[in-house]
Amino acid sequence: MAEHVNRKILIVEDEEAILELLSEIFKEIGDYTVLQARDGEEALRVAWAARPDVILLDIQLPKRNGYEVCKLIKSDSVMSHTKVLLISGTPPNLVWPKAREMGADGYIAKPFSSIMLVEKVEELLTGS
Amino acid sequence: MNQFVSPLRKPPAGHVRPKFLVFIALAFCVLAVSVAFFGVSAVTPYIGVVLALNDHGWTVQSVDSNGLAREAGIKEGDVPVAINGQPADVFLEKYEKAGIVFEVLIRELTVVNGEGQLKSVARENNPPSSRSVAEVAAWFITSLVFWAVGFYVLIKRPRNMAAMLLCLCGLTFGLALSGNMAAERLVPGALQLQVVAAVIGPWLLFHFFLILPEERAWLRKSRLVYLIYLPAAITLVLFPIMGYADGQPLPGFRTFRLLEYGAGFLAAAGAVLFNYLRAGSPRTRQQMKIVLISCLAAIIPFLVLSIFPATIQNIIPSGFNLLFIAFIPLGLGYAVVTTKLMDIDVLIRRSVVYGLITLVMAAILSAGIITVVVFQDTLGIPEEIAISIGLGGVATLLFGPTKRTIETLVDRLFYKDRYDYRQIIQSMSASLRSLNDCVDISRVIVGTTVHTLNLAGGCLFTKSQSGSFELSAGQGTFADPDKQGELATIISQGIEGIEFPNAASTACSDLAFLIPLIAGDKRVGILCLSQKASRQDFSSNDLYLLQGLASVGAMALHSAMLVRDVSMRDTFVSIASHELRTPLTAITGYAELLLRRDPPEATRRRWLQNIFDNSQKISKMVDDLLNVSRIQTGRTTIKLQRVKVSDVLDEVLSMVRESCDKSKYEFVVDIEPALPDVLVDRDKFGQVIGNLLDNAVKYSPNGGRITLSAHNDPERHRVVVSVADEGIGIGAEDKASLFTTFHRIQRPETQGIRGSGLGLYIAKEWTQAMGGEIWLESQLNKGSTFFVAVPTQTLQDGPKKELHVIGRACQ
Repeated sequence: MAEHVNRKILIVEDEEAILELLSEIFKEIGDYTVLQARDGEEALRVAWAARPDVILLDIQLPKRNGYEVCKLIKSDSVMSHTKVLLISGTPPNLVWPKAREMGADGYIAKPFSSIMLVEKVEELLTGS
Repeated sequence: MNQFVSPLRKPPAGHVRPKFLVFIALAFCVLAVSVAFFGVSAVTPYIGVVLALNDHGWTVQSVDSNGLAREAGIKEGDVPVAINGQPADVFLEKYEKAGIVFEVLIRELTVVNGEGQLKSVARENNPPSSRSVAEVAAWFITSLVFWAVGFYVLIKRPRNMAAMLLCLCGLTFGLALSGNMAAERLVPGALQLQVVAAVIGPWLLFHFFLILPEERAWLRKSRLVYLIYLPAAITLVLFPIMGYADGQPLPGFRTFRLLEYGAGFLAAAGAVLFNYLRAGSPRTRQQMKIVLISCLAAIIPFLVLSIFPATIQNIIPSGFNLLFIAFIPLGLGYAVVTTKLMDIDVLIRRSVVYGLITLVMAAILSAGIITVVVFQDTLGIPEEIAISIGLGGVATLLFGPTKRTIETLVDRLFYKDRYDYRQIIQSMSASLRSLNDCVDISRVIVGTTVHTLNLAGGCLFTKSQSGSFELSAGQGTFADPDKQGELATIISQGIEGIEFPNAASTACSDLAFLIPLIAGDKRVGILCLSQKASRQDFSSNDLYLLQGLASVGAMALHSAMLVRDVSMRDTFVSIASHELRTPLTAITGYAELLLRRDPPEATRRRWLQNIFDNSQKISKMVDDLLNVSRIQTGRTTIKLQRVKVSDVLDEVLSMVRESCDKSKYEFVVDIEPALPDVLVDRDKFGQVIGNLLDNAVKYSPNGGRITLSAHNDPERHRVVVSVADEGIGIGAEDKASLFTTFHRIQRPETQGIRGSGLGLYIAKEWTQAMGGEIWLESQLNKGSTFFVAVPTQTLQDGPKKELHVIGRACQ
């Protein structure tokens, strides 16, 4: 598990309650550095500056939506290895085709349990 | 005559006006006098000569073709010897100044002709000539038609001034004709009555044409219009003073009289032409066309028969030509009474086309005949036959192309709105095929129809998700929002009975047709069309085209609506699930955290608050969904009660104020003092205003002033509440669909603003169910103001009552 230590996770969510919840979940595990962003542009700025290993990205965001952020990150030569996990309340069949097109690595539908979410993130990180 | 008495015995609806009774009484007097004159004229012979004083002394100036004098062999130029039992010199002495003696003075006459023969004629003991009887009969029949038409229109349109005038025209016409004949037969008083009738008649006709068009209804009440009788009045005053002497009209004044009623007839004809050329409505134009055509039908045969040589005139029954005059009253009566007029344009166009073809063909044949005549010496018979056959062949071959060319030419010159309807339908369905948006399709349907038929305007209402008809495209005069509002009202009241192919002008004067667009058994839209810009009537071809366009348009709209419904369902699933799942995630997530951990008190409280807030959100969303479902299935219940506006507004405002960032927003309240109570469902009214305030906050991401005002509108018995913000505003493209379900404004600024897209839909439906109205004014990036008007009273002013909103089933 040593390699897992100090992985950076960027959580992008405009709803304060959900942002705090997600942050708490990953802080609780201990080996994640949690970064936060509340809109699409902030997400890009933080991602550029901090180079997170994984981004938890809500789709409905102010300024730039999740799809756009995902596309920009995945099309960037330096950032393209960053795992992007999209989160949305919209049913997967309406989201996943577009998400995949934008290069997202995974999609998790609300509501989710914290265990499920953490498992999904771990899976993404170790699978690479 | 019994049928004419009926307006007296059975008055038309309501009370009979005394003026009307006087009119009817007068009409019957005139009628009786006229009939008496006709009767007397039919059995009384008349001499029928006019004597005039010239260089050779007194001679016979003219001999009437139907008089006894002509039968007796008296001719023009004969010299009178004895008149009315007196020697001619004695009788004629007092007429030397006038220089003329009309037939109205002559009972007996003896003349000497060029050969020195004496001819004499006397009214006594002589039966009238058959020609004279025939003439009286012909004029009587013509007058009878005039009277019948006059009384018929009076019965059909008892309160119509045009009908009254037409009836008067008929009576005057009959009196003038019968009076003239009776005067020739020396009936006392006939001459005077005839003069009165002849002087007034043309001006009555002028008056009739002035006020006949519907658009000139205002003139019917105006007193100024009676000024047109001034020339007639002057003539009538002057006649006894200087126009009449020694039992006969004076020749100089006779000319003046002729000029007077000539002017009257010219004025009437001018009025007809003016009405025709400057017609404000197609009906006026058609009316005038009918008048013109009936006049031509009367005058052309009359003139043609009159100018035939005397030999032919003897074959035709005397007075036959007069019968054609009866076409005029028939035409006038038809123009007054009918509301649907025939399509004369098509008839005229066909006549013009075939007339021109005949001319062209005649030219070709003449060319052949001329060739044969010119070269007849050099040509043998076989060559002549060959040329004839050749030219015949050329004429036959040219017939088709000539007809087409002429038709195109005539259409291009006079009928710009003619078309090949199959081609139009084909090209419209081709352009519709590539479209799948209802608004785009509507634009094409309205555009094609308006352009092809050269209409003044047109618009289309299409069925929205909620089942009501909403405007989707408008053009020309129907692009005007006021007009569209008027049309929307008509449509909402139901178009049964006035829909295509019936004329819809009963509902609205400049509306020609309301065409339901029907696909399968569903009415997907209603196409509203105005009259043609050219004010011409719709031909049967136009109606075929409309039918074709309507069915093609309906199919395209229907399939677009199906696509829209499916994508709406996707939007619904996506928004509803998002709006439910996000708070649910927060609730389960924090509950999990709280179960697992024991955070400090402050954190614990915050997390519990999060759980509570998000439960509220879910509950609100579920409420909204249920409300929409109730609206769409017609189960909304409205409990109307008297409510103090300021109470509700204060309550709602304090709730909204609490839930938003107070540092960003400045709330201004402007409630008019002493507002009357409104009659609303208190909870729903509060929620409507709450929704608007929520939106004002939500769509002003940079904060700003939010103004809540309420003002009385006593004229319309309502109170208008408005919510104004300084937010992002609403663009024109969003305004139309703003009040529909799940419509959310898609702009960069709105990304991240959460909402169900149901609030305004519910607000609109509820406001309307409470008898109110909701609308907005907005400028992009400057802010929006929403207005809600609610009634202060209802027709049955009860304290509290329940009302079931009749629902519209969701399709």
